[in-house]
Amino acid sequence: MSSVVRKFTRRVPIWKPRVTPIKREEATKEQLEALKITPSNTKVSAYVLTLAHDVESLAVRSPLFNAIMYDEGGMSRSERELGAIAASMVNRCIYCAAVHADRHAKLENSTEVTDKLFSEGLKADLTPRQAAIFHFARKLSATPPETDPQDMDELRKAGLKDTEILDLILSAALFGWANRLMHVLGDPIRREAPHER
Amino acid sequence: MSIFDTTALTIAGIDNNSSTGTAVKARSQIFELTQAAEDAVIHPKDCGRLSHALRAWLAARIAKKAGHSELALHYMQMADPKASSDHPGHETHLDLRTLTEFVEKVANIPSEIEENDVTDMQAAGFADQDIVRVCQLVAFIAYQVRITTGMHMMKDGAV
Repeated sequence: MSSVVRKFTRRVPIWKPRVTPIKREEATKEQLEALKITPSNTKVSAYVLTLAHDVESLAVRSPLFNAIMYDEGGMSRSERELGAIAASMVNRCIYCAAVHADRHAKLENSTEVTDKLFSEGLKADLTPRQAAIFHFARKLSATPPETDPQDMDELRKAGLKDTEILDLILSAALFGWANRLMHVLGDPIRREAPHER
Repeated sequence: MSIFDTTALTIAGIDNNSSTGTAVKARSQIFELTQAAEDAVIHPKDCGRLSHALRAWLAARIAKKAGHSELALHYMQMADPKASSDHPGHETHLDLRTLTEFVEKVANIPSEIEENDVTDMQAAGFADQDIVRVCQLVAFIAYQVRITTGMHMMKDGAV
């Protein structure tokens, strides 16, 4: 029985690489330097060790990821997560969707939005601001992008300032990048629940 | 280099004195890093088996399929002068058909990628290191297409 997770969930799976990650003990000086800055400043994961195969990209990508998702000012962190979730749903990156839905729920102290998105999809009943953000990010994530001037008007009507719109563009686009690494280079594997044996 | 001279802001048509330009200046580090990321995927010091010209040609194809002709032109100018839309213009020992099929699927329908797409690349002789390099290239261009598209729309809709 396959343990690959196929449906959207907030329960973060284990990421299993489809290629062989570098071994940390065999890392070059450049790879060790790039491994110091990891996405979200977490411990070095199999994912980061996989990306270390292309150390020049990794060295730039990690600080860029952190700047887009966590720099102060502009759009709130939870709304940037909404942009990330929309992209991850379009690209069906189950792992990214889980990580960022979990973060959204923790930042908002509520699972309401991500429950609705995962159970109702495009028909989810969101507030006008959430809907404008989610649908803009969703349409920007299509190939080719499907956003039109009306989507931009909806963001402005919903009260988003230029700095917030820019952060939304950046966070949704960043996940166009992240999804094409995470979803392509590995599988999301079901994590055994603590009570399971 | 000013951030307004970076590929992303030049292609999106954002200038220093516009309202979008003001928002962009508050995120200047992001645009410096975005340019550095372009350099890392198109002109890395260690390009593995993917030459700079081949990377530029692949980038141009991805941008074109994403409906972004200006970005496609930007990259085609860095490709081999003999390149056409169907061929990189120079001899390569790589399995070009497997490579371009993989690149197009990751770029255009990433939701449909399965494990066998990666094993097909491995069977065609691509080392894991080169598969990661290809993914970084494709994924970065997907990001660049979307930030330029979004900012261009933001500029046009400014009030």
